[in-house]
Amino acid sequence: MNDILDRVRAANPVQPTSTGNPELFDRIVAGPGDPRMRGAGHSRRRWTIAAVAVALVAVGAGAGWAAVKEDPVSLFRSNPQMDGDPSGLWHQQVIPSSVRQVGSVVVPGAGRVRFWYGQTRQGGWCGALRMPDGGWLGTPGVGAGGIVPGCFPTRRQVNDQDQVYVLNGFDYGEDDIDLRDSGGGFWRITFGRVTGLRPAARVVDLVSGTSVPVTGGSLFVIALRDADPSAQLPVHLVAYDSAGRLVADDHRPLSKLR
Amino acid sequence: MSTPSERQSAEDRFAQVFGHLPAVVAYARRRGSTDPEAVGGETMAIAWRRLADVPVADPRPWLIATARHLVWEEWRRRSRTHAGPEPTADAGFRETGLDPDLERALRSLSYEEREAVLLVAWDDLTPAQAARCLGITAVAFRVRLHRARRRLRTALERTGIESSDLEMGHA
Repeated sequence: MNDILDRVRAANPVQPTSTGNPELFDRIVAGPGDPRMRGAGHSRRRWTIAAVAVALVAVGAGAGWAAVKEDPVSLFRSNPQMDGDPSGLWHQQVIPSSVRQVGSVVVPGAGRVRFWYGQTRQGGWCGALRMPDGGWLGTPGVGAGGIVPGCFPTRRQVNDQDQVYVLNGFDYGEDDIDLRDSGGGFWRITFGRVTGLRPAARVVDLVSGTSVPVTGGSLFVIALRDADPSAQLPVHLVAYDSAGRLVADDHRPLSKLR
Repeated sequence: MSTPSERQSAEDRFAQVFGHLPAVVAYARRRGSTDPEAVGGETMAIAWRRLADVPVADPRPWLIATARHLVWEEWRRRSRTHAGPEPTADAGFRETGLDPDLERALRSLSYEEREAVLLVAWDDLTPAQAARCLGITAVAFRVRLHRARRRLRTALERTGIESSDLEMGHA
Protein backbone atom coordinates (compact mmCIF):
# COMPACT_ATOMS: atom_id res chain seq x y z
CA MET A 1 0.00 0.00 0.00
CA ASN A 2 2.14 2.81 -1.23
CA ASP A 3 -0.39 5.59 -1.43
CA ILE A 4 -2.47 7.17 1.26
CA LEU A 5 -5.55 6.98 -0.95
CA ASP A 6 -5.19 3.20 -0.99
CA ARG A 7 -5.47 3.18 2.77
CA VAL A 8 -8.67 5.19 2.56
CA ARG A 9 -9.99 2.98 -0.25
CA ALA A 10 -9.40 -0.11 1.85
CA ALA A 11 -11.53 1.41 4.61
CA ASN A 12 -14.54 2.04 2.37
CA PRO A 13 -17.48 1.24 4.69
CA VAL A 14 -20.14 0.70 2.00
CA GLN A 15 -20.02 -1.16 -1.28
CA PRO A 16 -22.79 -0.52 -3.80
CA THR A 17 -25.28 -3.32 -4.16
CA SER A 18 -26.07 -4.46 -7.65
CA THR A 19 -29.80 -4.81 -7.14
CA GLY A 20 -32.03 -2.81 -9.41
CA ASN A 21 -35.31 -1.21 -8.44
CA PRO A 22 -37.80 -1.51 -11.30
CA GLU A 23 -40.69 -0.30 -9.16
CA LEU A 24 -38.89 2.94 -8.40
CA PHE A 25 -38.05 3.34 -12.07
CA ASP A 26 -41.72 2.97 -13.00
CA ARG A 27 -42.80 5.44 -10.35
CA ILE A 28 -40.32 8.04 -11.51
CA VAL A 29 -41.05 7.85 -15.22
CA ALA A 30 -44.76 8.02 -14.43
CA GLY A 31 -44.16 11.57 -13.27
CA PRO A 32 -43.69 14.65 -15.43
CA GLY A 33 -40.32 14.59 -17.09
CA ASP A 34 -38.03 17.19 -18.58
CA PRO A 35 -40.11 19.32 -20.96
CA ARG A 36 -37.00 19.80 -23.08
CA MET A 37 -37.04 16.08 -23.82
CA ARG A 38 -39.92 15.43 -26.16
CA GLY A 39 -41.73 12.41 -24.87
CA ALA A 40 -40.94 12.95 -21.23
CA GLY A 41 -43.88 15.12 -20.36
CA HIS A 42 -46.64 12.64 -19.69
CA SER A 43 -47.86 11.33 -16.42
CA ARG A 44 -48.77 7.69 -16.59
CA ARG A 45 -49.71 7.51 -12.97
CA ARG A 46 -49.19 9.49 -9.86
CA TRP A 47 -46.44 8.63 -7.48
CA THR A 48 -45.18 9.91 -4.25
CA ILE A 49 -41.79 9.63 -2.70
CA ALA A 50 -40.81 9.80 0.91
CA ALA A 51 -41.75 13.01 2.65
CA VAL A 52 -38.16 13.68 3.46
CA ALA A 53 -37.35 13.84 -0.21
CA VAL A 54 -40.15 16.30 -0.90
CA ALA A 55 -38.87 18.49 1.87
CA LEU A 56 -35.41 18.36 0.40
CA VAL A 57 -36.65 19.72 -2.90
CA ALA A 58 -38.39 22.56 -1.11
CA VAL A 59 -35.10 23.79 0.24
CA GLY A 60 -33.22 23.57 -3.02
CA ALA A 61 -30.15 25.44 -4.14
CA GLY A 62 -29.82 28.95 -2.85
CA ALA A 63 -31.75 28.45 0.35
CA GLY A 64 -28.61 28.49 2.40
CA TRP A 65 -27.08 31.76 1.33
CA ALA A 66 -27.32 33.10 4.83
CA ALA A 67 -25.39 30.22 6.38
CA VAL A 68 -22.41 32.39 7.25
CA LYS A 69 -22.69 36.16 7.58
CA GLU A 70 -19.42 37.14 9.16
CA ASP A 71 -17.91 40.47 8.28
CA PRO A 72 -15.17 40.12 5.67
CA VAL A 73 -12.26 40.75 8.03
CA SER A 74 -13.52 38.07 10.41
CA LEU A 75 -14.08 35.72 7.52
CA PHE A 76 -10.55 36.15 6.25
CA ARG A 77 -9.10 36.00 9.76
CA SER A 78 -10.78 32.68 10.42
CA ASN A 79 -9.60 31.68 6.95
CA PRO A 80 -11.36 28.42 6.12
CA GLN A 81 -8.54 27.72 3.68
CA MET A 82 -5.96 27.46 6.46
CA ASP A 83 -4.65 23.96 6.86
CA GLY A 84 -3.41 24.11 10.44
CA ASP A 85 0.27 24.03 9.62
CA PRO A 86 1.70 27.36 10.85
CA SER A 87 4.76 26.94 8.68
CA GLY A 88 2.79 25.83 5.65
CA LEU A 89 2.04 27.66 2.47
CA TRP A 90 -1.69 27.80 3.22
CA HIS A 91 -1.20 29.52 6.55
CA GLN A 92 -1.95 32.92 5.07
CA GLN A 93 -2.81 35.70 7.50
CA VAL A 94 -4.91 38.58 6.30
CA ILE A 95 -3.77 42.18 6.73
CA PRO A 96 -7.02 43.67 8.08
CA SER A 97 -6.38 47.16 6.73
CA SER A 98 -6.12 45.78 3.20
CA VAL A 99 -9.62 44.28 3.17
CA ARG A 100 -12.04 46.06 0.88
CA GLN A 101 -14.76 45.52 -1.67
CA VAL A 102 -13.13 45.72 -5.07
CA GLY A 103 -15.86 44.83 -7.52
CA SER A 104 -19.28 43.40 -8.09
CA VAL A 105 -21.42 41.71 -10.70
CA VAL A 106 -25.17 41.47 -11.08
CA VAL A 107 -26.44 37.92 -11.43
CA PRO A 108 -29.97 37.90 -12.84
CA GLY A 109 -32.30 36.42 -10.27
CA ALA A 110 -29.81 36.70 -7.44
CA GLY A 111 -28.84 40.36 -7.37
CA ARG A 112 -25.51 42.04 -6.94
CA VAL A 113 -22.66 39.78 -5.85
CA ARG A 114 -19.71 41.61 -4.32
CA PHE A 115 -16.06 40.63 -4.48
CA TRP A 116 -14.14 41.27 -1.27
CA TYR A 117 -10.38 41.19 -1.33
CA GLY A 118 -7.46 41.40 1.04
CA GLN A 119 -3.71 40.90 1.11
CA THR A 120 -1.83 38.57 3.43
CA ARG A 121 1.35 38.95 5.42
CA GLN A 122 2.80 35.99 3.55
CA GLY A 123 2.35 37.60 0.12
CA GLY A 124 -0.84 35.80 -0.80
CA TRP A 125 -4.33 37.15 -1.17
CA CYS A 126 -7.81 36.70 0.25
CA GLY A 127 -11.01 36.57 -1.76
CA ALA A 128 -14.68 35.94 -1.18
CA LEU A 129 -17.99 36.59 -2.89
CA ARG A 130 -20.84 37.98 -0.86
CA MET A 131 -24.48 37.49 -1.74
CA PRO A 132 -26.99 40.35 -1.38
CA ASP A 133 -28.24 38.90 1.92
CA GLY A 134 -24.76 38.91 3.40
CA GLY A 135 -23.97 35.20 3.01
CA TRP A 136 -20.66 34.10 1.56
CA LEU A 137 -20.53 31.85 -1.47
CA GLY A 138 -18.67 28.63 -0.86
CA THR A 139 -19.51 28.45 2.83
CA PRO A 140 -21.46 25.39 3.99
CA GLY A 141 -24.76 25.01 2.25
CA VAL A 142 -24.30 27.98 -0.06
CA GLY A 143 -24.45 27.59 -3.81
CA ALA A 144 -23.77 24.53 -5.88
CA GLY A 145 -20.04 24.40 -5.58
CA GLY A 146 -16.88 26.34 -5.89
CA ILE A 147 -13.97 27.50 -3.90
CA VAL A 148 -14.22 28.08 -0.16
CA PRO A 149 -13.61 31.73 0.67
CA GLY A 150 -10.44 32.55 2.48
CA CYS A 151 -6.81 33.42 1.90
CA PHE A 152 -4.65 31.70 -0.63
CA PRO A 153 -1.03 31.56 -1.64
CA THR A 154 -0.35 32.93 -5.08
CA ARG A 155 -0.03 30.50 -7.92
CA ARG A 156 3.64 31.33 -8.09
CA GLN A 157 4.04 30.43 -4.42
CA VAL A 158 2.25 27.13 -5.02
CA ASN A 159 4.48 26.38 -7.97
CA ASP A 160 7.56 27.02 -5.88
CA GLN A 161 6.57 23.94 -3.87
CA ASP A 162 4.86 21.85 -6.49
CA GLN A 163 4.43 22.59 -10.18
CA VAL A 164 0.66 22.81 -10.40
CA TYR A 165 -0.17 25.85 -12.47
CA VAL A 166 0.77 27.26 -15.81
CA LEU A 167 1.55 30.85 -14.90
CA ASN A 168 -0.54 32.77 -17.39
CA GLY A 169 -1.07 36.09 -15.67
CA PHE A 170 -4.30 35.09 -13.95
CA ASP A 171 -4.77 33.99 -10.36
CA TYR A 172 -8.38 33.36 -9.48
CA GLY A 173 -11.01 31.28 -7.78
CA GLU A 174 -14.43 30.20 -8.98
CA ASP A 175 -17.85 29.89 -7.38
CA ASP A 176 -21.21 29.17 -8.85
CA ILE A 177 -24.82 30.13 -8.30
CA ASP A 178 -27.50 27.71 -9.35
CA LEU A 179 -30.87 29.38 -9.91
CA ARG A 180 -32.38 26.75 -12.15
CA ASP A 181 -34.89 25.65 -9.53
CA SER A 182 -36.37 29.14 -9.61
CA GLY A 183 -36.35 29.41 -13.39
CA GLY A 184 -33.00 31.14 -13.62
CA GLY A 185 -29.63 30.03 -14.90
CA PHE A 186 -26.47 28.43 -13.64
CA TRP A 187 -23.77 31.06 -13.22
CA ARG A 188 -20.05 30.60 -12.83
CA ILE A 189 -18.33 33.51 -11.14
CA THR A 190 -14.61 33.95 -11.43
CA PHE A 191 -12.83 36.39 -9.15
CA GLY A 192 -9.22 37.18 -8.53
CA ARG A 193 -6.17 38.96 -9.80
CA VAL A 194 -4.50 39.72 -13.08
CA THR A 195 -0.75 39.42 -12.67
CA GLY A 196 0.17 40.11 -16.27
CA LEU A 197 2.83 42.07 -18.04
CA ARG A 198 1.37 45.45 -17.08
CA PRO A 199 -1.52 46.77 -14.99
CA ALA A 200 -4.78 45.66 -16.53
CA ALA A 201 -7.88 47.73 -17.28
CA ARG A 202 -10.33 45.12 -18.55
CA VAL A 203 -10.85 41.38 -18.46
CA VAL A 204 -12.73 39.81 -21.34
CA ASP A 205 -14.05 36.31 -21.91
CA LEU A 206 -13.44 35.81 -25.61
CA VAL A 207 -15.98 32.97 -25.82
CA SER A 208 -19.01 34.85 -24.50
CA GLY A 209 -17.76 38.36 -25.18
CA THR A 210 -18.35 39.36 -21.57
CA SER A 211 -16.15 42.25 -20.51
CA VAL A 212 -15.60 43.61 -17.00
CA PRO A 213 -13.47 46.42 -15.60
CA VAL A 214 -10.38 45.74 -13.52
CA THR A 215 -9.94 47.53 -10.18
CA GLY A 216 -6.57 48.88 -9.15
CA GLY A 217 -4.84 47.37 -12.16
CA SER A 218 -5.35 43.78 -11.10
CA LEU A 219 -8.64 42.81 -9.44
CA PHE A 220 -11.66 41.53 -11.31
CA VAL A 221 -14.88 39.56 -10.99
CA ILE A 222 -16.80 38.16 -13.93
CA ALA A 223 -20.04 36.14 -14.11
CA LEU A 224 -20.64 33.74 -16.96
CA ARG A 225 -23.84 31.85 -17.57
CA ASP A 226 -23.32 28.13 -18.04
CA ALA A 227 -26.00 26.51 -20.18
CA ASP A 228 -24.69 23.02 -19.44
CA PRO A 229 -23.17 22.79 -15.96
CA SER A 230 -22.46 19.10 -16.40
CA ALA A 231 -19.86 19.85 -19.07
CA GLN A 232 -16.80 22.02 -19.04
CA LEU A 233 -17.81 25.61 -19.79
CA PRO A 234 -15.61 26.96 -22.56
CA VAL A 235 -13.93 30.07 -21.20
CA HIS A 236 -11.05 32.10 -22.57
CA LEU A 237 -10.06 34.99 -20.33
CA VAL A 238 -7.74 37.70 -21.54
CA ALA A 239 -6.76 40.99 -19.93
CA TYR A 240 -6.00 44.28 -21.66
CA ASP A 241 -4.36 47.41 -20.37
CA SER A 242 -5.84 50.88 -20.78
CA ALA A 243 -4.24 51.18 -24.22
CA GLY A 244 -5.87 47.96 -25.38
CA ARG A 245 -2.70 45.90 -25.31
CA LEU A 246 -2.88 42.27 -24.24
CA VAL A 247 -1.35 41.78 -20.80
CA ALA A 248 -2.51 38.25 -19.91
CA ASP A 249 -4.14 35.29 -21.62
CA ASP A 250 -5.26 32.29 -19.61
CA HIS A 251 -4.63 30.02 -22.60
CA ARG A 252 -1.00 31.00 -22.89
CA PRO A 253 1.91 31.08 -20.46
CA LEU A 254 2.92 34.58 -19.57
CA SER A 255 6.40 33.87 -20.89
CA LYS A 256 4.91 33.51 -24.39
CA LEU A 257 3.41 36.99 -24.27
CA ARG A 258 6.63 38.83 -23.62
CA MET B 1 -47.97 15.79 -26.67
CA SER B 2 -45.35 13.28 -27.61
CA THR B 3 -45.50 10.09 -29.52
CA PRO B 4 -45.06 6.71 -27.84
CA SER B 5 -41.72 6.29 -29.59
CA GLU B 6 -40.48 9.65 -28.26
CA ARG B 7 -41.50 8.69 -24.79
CA GLN B 8 -39.78 5.35 -25.13
CA SER B 9 -36.64 7.16 -26.25
CA ALA B 10 -36.68 9.33 -23.11
CA GLU B 11 -37.21 6.29 -20.91
CA ASP B 12 -34.39 4.44 -22.60
CA ARG B 13 -32.12 7.39 -21.99
CA PHE B 14 -33.20 7.56 -18.37
CA ALA B 15 -32.67 3.82 -17.94
CA GLN B 16 -28.96 4.35 -18.59
CA VAL B 17 -28.88 6.98 -15.86
CA PHE B 18 -30.98 4.92 -13.49
CA GLY B 19 -28.44 2.10 -13.63
CA HIS B 20 -26.25 4.20 -11.35
CA LEU B 21 -28.80 4.16 -8.51
CA PRO B 22 -26.75 1.73 -6.35
CA ALA B 23 -23.72 4.02 -6.54
CA VAL B 24 -25.84 7.01 -5.51
CA VAL B 25 -27.42 5.17 -2.58
CA ALA B 26 -23.98 3.98 -1.48
CA TYR B 27 -22.72 7.56 -1.67
CA ALA B 28 -25.58 8.79 0.54
CA ARG B 29 -25.02 5.96 3.01
CA ARG B 30 -21.28 6.70 3.25
CA ARG B 31 -22.00 10.36 3.89
CA GLY B 32 -24.27 9.59 6.81
CA SER B 33 -27.72 10.10 5.31
CA THR B 34 -30.46 8.81 7.59
CA ASP B 35 -32.39 7.64 4.54
CA PRO B 36 -30.00 6.87 1.70
CA GLU B 37 -32.68 5.07 -0.30
CA ALA B 38 -34.81 8.23 -0.32
CA VAL B 39 -31.82 10.31 -1.37
CA GLY B 40 -31.15 7.87 -4.19
CA GLY B 41 -34.79 7.98 -5.25
CA GLU B 42 -34.99 11.73 -5.16
CA THR B 43 -31.72 12.06 -7.05
CA MET B 44 -33.15 9.88 -9.79
CA ALA B 45 -36.43 11.80 -9.78
CA ILE B 46 -34.50 15.03 -10.29
CA ALA B 47 -32.50 13.38 -13.06
CA TRP B 48 -35.76 12.45 -14.78
CA ARG B 49 -37.12 15.97 -14.48
CA ARG B 50 -33.85 17.41 -15.81
CA LEU B 51 -32.92 14.65 -18.16
CA ALA B 52 -31.61 17.03 -20.79
CA ASP B 53 -28.99 18.23 -18.30
CA VAL B 54 -27.70 14.77 -17.43
CA PRO B 55 -24.72 13.65 -19.48
CA VAL B 56 -25.81 10.14 -20.31
CA ALA B 57 -22.35 9.03 -21.35
CA ASP B 58 -21.00 9.73 -17.87
CA PRO B 59 -23.84 10.61 -15.49
CA ARG B 60 -22.20 9.70 -12.18
CA PRO B 61 -20.60 13.11 -11.43
CA TRP B 62 -23.94 14.81 -12.09
CA LEU B 63 -25.84 12.30 -9.96
CA ILE B 64 -23.42 12.42 -7.05
CA ALA B 65 -23.38 16.22 -7.14
CA THR B 66 -27.16 16.16 -6.85
CA ALA B 67 -27.09 13.57 -4.06
CA ARG B 68 -24.45 15.62 -2.30
CA HIS B 69 -26.81 18.59 -2.12
CA LEU B 70 -29.63 16.42 -0.84
CA VAL B 71 -27.48 14.88 1.89
CA TRP B 72 -26.19 18.28 2.83
CA GLU B 73 -29.67 19.74 3.07
CA GLU B 74 -30.80 16.75 5.10
CA TRP B 75 -27.98 17.42 7.53
CA ARG B 76 -28.87 21.10 7.74
CA ARG B 77 -32.51 20.29 8.34
CA ARG B 78 -31.56 17.83 11.07
CA SER B 79 -29.34 20.42 12.69
CA ARG B 80 -32.13 22.97 12.71
CA THR B 81 -34.56 20.44 14.16
CA HIS B 82 -32.19 19.71 17.01
CA ALA B 83 -31.22 23.35 17.46
CA GLY B 84 -27.70 22.35 16.64
CA PRO B 85 -24.92 24.43 15.19
CA GLU B 86 -24.48 25.37 11.56
CA PRO B 87 -22.89 22.65 9.46
CA THR B 88 -19.27 22.06 10.31
CA ALA B 89 -16.48 20.04 8.80
CA ASP B 90 -17.98 16.99 10.51
CA ALA B 91 -21.14 17.19 8.45
CA GLY B 92 -21.93 14.47 5.98
CA PHE B 93 -19.42 11.87 7.01
CA ARG B 94 -20.10 8.33 8.07
CA GLU B 95 -17.35 6.64 9.99
CA THR B 96 -18.83 3.16 10.41
CA GLY B 97 -16.17 0.59 11.00
CA LEU B 98 -13.23 2.84 10.29
CA ASP B 99 -9.86 2.49 11.94
CA PRO B 100 -10.10 5.11 14.73
CA ASP B 101 -6.82 6.69 13.67
CA LEU B 102 -7.95 6.96 10.08
CA GLU B 103 -11.29 8.36 11.19
CA ARG B 104 -9.57 11.03 13.28
CA ALA B 105 -7.29 11.86 10.39
CA LEU B 106 -10.21 12.19 7.99
CA ARG B 107 -12.10 14.35 10.47
CA SER B 108 -9.11 16.65 10.76
CA LEU B 109 -9.60 17.63 7.11
CA SER B 110 -11.95 20.39 6.08
CA TYR B 111 -15.24 19.27 4.58
CA GLU B 112 -14.06 20.20 1.09
CA GLU B 113 -10.76 18.41 1.44
CA ARG B 114 -12.32 15.27 2.87
CA GLU B 115 -14.92 15.25 0.13
CA ALA B 116 -12.14 15.42 -2.46
CA VAL B 117 -10.44 12.39 -0.91
CA LEU B 118 -13.62 10.38 -0.48
CA LEU B 119 -14.97 11.06 -3.96
CA VAL B 120 -11.84 9.48 -5.36
CA ALA B 121 -11.19 6.78 -2.76
CA TRP B 122 -14.71 5.65 -1.85
CA ASP B 123 -16.89 6.77 -4.72
CA ASP B 124 -14.35 5.74 -7.30
CA LEU B 125 -14.51 8.92 -9.35
CA THR B 126 -11.56 10.01 -11.40
CA PRO B 127 -10.16 13.43 -10.51
CA ALA B 128 -11.79 14.86 -13.62
CA GLN B 129 -15.16 13.38 -12.66
CA ALA B 130 -14.79 14.57 -9.08
CA ALA B 131 -14.01 18.07 -10.32
CA ARG B 132 -17.21 18.06 -12.38
CA CYS B 133 -19.12 16.79 -9.37
CA LEU B 134 -17.85 19.65 -7.24
CA GLY B 135 -18.28 22.22 -9.97
CA ILE B 136 -14.64 23.24 -9.98
CA THR B 137 -11.92 22.97 -12.55
CA ALA B 138 -9.74 19.90 -12.79
CA VAL B 139 -6.74 22.00 -11.80
CA ALA B 140 -8.49 23.33 -8.72
CA PHE B 141 -9.49 19.81 -7.77
CA ARG B 142 -5.97 18.54 -8.19
CA VAL B 143 -4.70 21.25 -5.85
CA ARG B 144 -7.41 20.45 -3.30
CA LEU B 145 -6.68 16.73 -3.44
CA HIS B 146 -2.97 17.31 -3.19
CA ARG B 147 -3.43 19.38 -0.05
CA ALA B 148 -5.87 16.89 1.42
CA ARG B 149 -3.48 13.99 0.92
CA ARG B 150 -0.65 15.94 2.43
CA ARG B 151 -2.72 16.85 5.47
CA LEU B 152 -4.05 13.34 5.79
CA ARG B 153 -0.57 11.91 5.78
CA THR B 154 0.54 14.42 8.39
CA ALA B 155 -2.45 13.63 10.57
CA LEU B 156 -1.78 9.91 10.36
CA GLU B 157 1.85 10.42 11.21
CA ARG B 158 0.79 12.33 14.29
CA THR B 159 -1.34 9.41 15.41
CA GLY B 160 1.71 7.18 15.31
CA ILE B 161 0.67 5.07 12.40
CA GLU B 162 3.62 3.77 10.52
CA SER B 163 3.43 5.78 7.36
CA SER B 164 6.92 6.00 6.10
CA ASP B 165 5.80 4.08 3.05
CA LEU B 166 3.00 6.48 2.26
CA GLU B 167 4.21 8.39 -0.71
CA MET B 168 2.16 11.17 -2.23
CA GLY B 169 1.60 10.47 -5.88
CA HIS B 170 -0.01 12.68 -8.45
CA ALA B 171 -3.76 13.24 -8.42
